[in-house]
Amino acid sequence: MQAQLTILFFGQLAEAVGTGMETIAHVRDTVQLDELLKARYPRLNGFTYVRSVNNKVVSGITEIPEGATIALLPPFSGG
Amino acid sequence: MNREDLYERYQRQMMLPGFGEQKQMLLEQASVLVIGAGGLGCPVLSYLAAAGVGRIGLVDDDAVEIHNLHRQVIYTMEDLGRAKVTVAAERISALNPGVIIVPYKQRVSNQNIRELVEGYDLIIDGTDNFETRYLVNDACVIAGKPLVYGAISQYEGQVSVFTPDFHYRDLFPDPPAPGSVLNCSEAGVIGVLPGLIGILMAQEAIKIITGIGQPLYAKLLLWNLLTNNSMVMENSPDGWHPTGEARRVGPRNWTELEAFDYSWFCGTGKVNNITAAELKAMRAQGEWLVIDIREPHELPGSEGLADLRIPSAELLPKHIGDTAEKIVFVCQSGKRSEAAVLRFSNLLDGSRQLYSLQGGVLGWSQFQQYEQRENH
Repeated sequence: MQAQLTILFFGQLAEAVGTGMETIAHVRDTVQLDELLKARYPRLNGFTYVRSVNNKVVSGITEIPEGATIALLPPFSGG
Repeated sequence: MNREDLYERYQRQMMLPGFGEQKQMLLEQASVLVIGAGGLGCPVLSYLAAAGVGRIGLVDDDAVEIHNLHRQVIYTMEDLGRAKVTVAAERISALNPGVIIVPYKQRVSNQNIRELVEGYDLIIDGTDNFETRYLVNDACVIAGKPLVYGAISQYEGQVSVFTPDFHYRDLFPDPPAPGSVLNCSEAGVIGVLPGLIGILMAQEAIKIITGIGQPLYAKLLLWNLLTNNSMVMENSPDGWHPTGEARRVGPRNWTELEAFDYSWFCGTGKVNNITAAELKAMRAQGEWLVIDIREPHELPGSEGLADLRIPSAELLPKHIGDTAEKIVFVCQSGKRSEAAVLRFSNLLDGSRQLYSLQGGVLGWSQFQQYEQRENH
């Protein structure tokens, strides 16, 4: 069995999904991850966010290594 | 400043390894434009002035209000109602008379930003809304000036340093849907958070000016006040310049910027706002439906104002029905209700008139209190 993935939710995303962190079974790439998360948390559909895999910002289809930590981060406007 | 005064005032930083007279001179020769004199702007301003940055421009059109004081610590009770830039300029001059401070009591817009940005070496974004953040970013990209970015939300903050090689639009090419990300007046903020993030911004500015350390170029620092967790996200080869996907750019020159509609871009334009007084006066005529779209826990209640209370995320056209011809969305301060107007103007056919209650439930309560006073 492949090592689980750690997902970190920042800002209002954490509020929308109800947690700042969760672990999930490994998925192959960021597209699969998006589909899984948006099915599980429909409220994510209304958000814009940037994704990082092991602290590297990625876009498009990116392969996810085993045991990776993935962060989802919305823009903040407050000042 | 003569050498003796210089050594006296700045001795503790000038004695640092790697930070001698030459670095101090770089600070003295530098000019920094601070946009926003609020929660982030206050610490930025204080520390840059204290460190001896030669010339600081400060842009803001707000006056000091009592709810600013829990986090905007350079202002006092005596300053209530005065222009922030005027007060800030006085405080900074008292702190360090060697610093030239230039107050601009205005809101940055695509019509005035060029002149502001071109007059300084380094820009600091301490603003509080997406429209201005995209505008400031685009202006710095066009002018080729480094931009120190900081932003907060509730208990979390972000800091970065943008250059034309990596900037806000590379990180967030699309603005969020209106109302999906809340600012401090909507979501709340604890005073120490902008303090911390503002000081990190001042730190980055000092590093850029003096060339010490590694500024956050192509990196985004995240800070969580509750957990003390911090994290630095880095650029990656398929990050903000994804292969096969064109890099999304904003306006490419000043002419394009001056014509760029930032409120349209951020989806914040074209909302009919209605004031509490107008709503009260007009409600007697025609079929009105007032919907409170706040989350269930939000106070004060809206009894006597709203006919329905359903959180924005759960509200659907079926809840609205088809009898009311005029629909008013209400939230805490009038921001999320604007977003609801934009959302429902797409969902409902054009036969209804949609409004956002200006000032939200808070504004409504104030209006009620005012009316009661008037009637006594």
